[in-house]
Amino acid sequence: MIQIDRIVEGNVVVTAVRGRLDSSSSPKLDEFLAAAPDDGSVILLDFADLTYISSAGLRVVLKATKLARSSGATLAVCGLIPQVHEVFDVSGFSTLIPIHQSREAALATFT
Amino acid sequence: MVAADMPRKPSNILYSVNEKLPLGTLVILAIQHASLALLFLVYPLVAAAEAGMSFEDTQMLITSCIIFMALATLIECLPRVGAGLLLIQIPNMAHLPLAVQSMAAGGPALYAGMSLIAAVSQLTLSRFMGALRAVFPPEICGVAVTMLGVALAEPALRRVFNLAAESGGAALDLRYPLVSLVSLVIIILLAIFSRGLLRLFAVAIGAGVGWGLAAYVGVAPAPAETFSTLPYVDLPKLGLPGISFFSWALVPAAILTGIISAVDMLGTVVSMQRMDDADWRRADLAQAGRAIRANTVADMGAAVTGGFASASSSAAIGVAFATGTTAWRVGVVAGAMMLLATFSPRLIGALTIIPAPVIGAILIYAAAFLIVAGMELILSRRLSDRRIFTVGLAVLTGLAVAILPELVHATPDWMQPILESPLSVSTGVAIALNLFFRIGIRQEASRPVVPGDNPFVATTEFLERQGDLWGARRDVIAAAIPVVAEAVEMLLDTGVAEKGVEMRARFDETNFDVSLLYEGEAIAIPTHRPAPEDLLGDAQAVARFVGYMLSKRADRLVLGKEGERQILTLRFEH
Repeated sequence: MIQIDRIVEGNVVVTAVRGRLDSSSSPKLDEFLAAAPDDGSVILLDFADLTYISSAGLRVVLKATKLARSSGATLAVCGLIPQVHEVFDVSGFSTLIPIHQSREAALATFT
Repeated sequence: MVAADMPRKPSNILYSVNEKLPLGTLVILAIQHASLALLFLVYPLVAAAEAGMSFEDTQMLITSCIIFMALATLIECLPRVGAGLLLIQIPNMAHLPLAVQSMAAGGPALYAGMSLIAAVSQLTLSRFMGALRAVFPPEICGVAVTMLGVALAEPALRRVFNLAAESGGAALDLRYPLVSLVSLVIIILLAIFSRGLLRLFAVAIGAGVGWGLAAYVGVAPAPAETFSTLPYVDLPKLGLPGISFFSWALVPAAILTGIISAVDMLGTVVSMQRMDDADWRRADLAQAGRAIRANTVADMGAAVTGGFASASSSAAIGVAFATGTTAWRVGVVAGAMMLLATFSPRLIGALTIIPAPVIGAILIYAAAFLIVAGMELILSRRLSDRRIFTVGLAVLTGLAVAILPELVHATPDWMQPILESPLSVSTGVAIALNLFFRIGIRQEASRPVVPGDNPFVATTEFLERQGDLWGARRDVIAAAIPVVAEAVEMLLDTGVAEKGVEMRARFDETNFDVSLLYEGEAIAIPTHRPAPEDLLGDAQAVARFVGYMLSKRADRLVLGKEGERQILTLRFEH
């Protein structure tokens, strides 16, 4: 239902999420992002293969954003499909979190 | 700025329905449409020859036919009065069997009477277009449009390969398909790869080169001896052949000819609507009704004055597609040109000798477009097993009468005019199966979702199944699923609906409504967006945040009560 992969690219930790992020699957991502990131590091959530996100998923993203900020790190997302992008726009998350078109575009910004 | 009710122009259209064109372009396009329409005078000429009509009666048949097809084109193309679409009339091929039989049996007066009956039956059907919405969902219109293309294939291929209706296996003369192929390739290449004037001239250039090649290889028909006697300019002559209804045996055929003509008109109107609107959703049946009514009035005029009936042309749709122009003004000018043409018997005589393989190429182009346009209409909706068989069996039945004409010949004479038309057979079967398969389908369905169910999976299964059964649009169901799933998840996870939710879907062609019924408190829907931090708050704050999102993602959100239960209804416009 959900698959999460972590890839380290320099100072950027890419977390690629595949599947649906709802109330049943979001605790897994929450657990994945629970560790405080290093100061100055970048957490990039690659949602290119995320087909659905509910408010439970948004809650996890928001928690991770707050944790990153409090640790002096940066959190960004990339590769949103239109349906997921709409959720980010309506919820106001797109003004809260930097959104990049693709992983390549995001890495070009952070590295 | 684009008005809210204006259709969105597809990228392949240069001049859409209401756009104004430069005068030169307008004239160029109108000449192509008017010339193509006049080429189809071959139908009444065939009918006259088969029935052994005199030269004077034939002239009356042709002149009246042009005048009334020109008037019908003018009326149909004008907004408000007519359909406001680019609909070009041509002599109605569906009338050919009726005309041949009635003129042979009772002369022009009997054909006039039968033609009047056909027009009245067509007019009667057009009065009920609005009420027939359930009878003509997009997949049925799609079957009609596809079979309109399939029906063009036979006359097109006969012209391409120069096959007579009863050919006895004569050797193939490759000069004919060569002329067709060259004409077709030129039209397609210009329509796809060229821009500007070349594209606007696509059909004319293809036909011109084809005509030249036909003359060079010796397959262009020589003008008849009478051609040189035709005056360049003359007043059109109309007659009053009288009206006879004496042949009751032909009345059923006349009524059915009217119905076939109405279905044919519906197919061309829907094709034009679809070509002109990138966001096409459903047939505008009121507009189709106006087009059919204009056609019937013209047919009545033609009948009384001894003319051959006309109908909107599917070949003209091919020209509109090739030239990227669907502007109604082109039709008005083309109609005026057709009227002017009645003053030049020599011009009309010249057009009727255009080489058959060139007409075949134009028909092939139109047929190819219509077949695919119909398939696109069919697949615009979710297809349940019932709908798959409705479409599949209807198309197969139409193909059966096209491939196996001996089946048709085995039926009673009065049925043959209807059964030999793949379009009317397919559409009739599609309508009948659609109505039959509606038995047992309620327009409302529900299922429970309890804590422990996965809201997304439950919602997807339920809405996709209902969408298939109801033939809802794919994009509407796809948009509804995540929104409804979010609402169900919120109600269950926040504990607002502790005992679960009843998910109830309702469909009425213009709206797809999903209501969630539950025991518990009503949720609040804030008008301003709550702070994202509310998602980290208590259950009420989360419910408020999600309520706001639902109100923005559905076309409409309504809160209410049914007995003791709360109802949250999400509406998706269809």
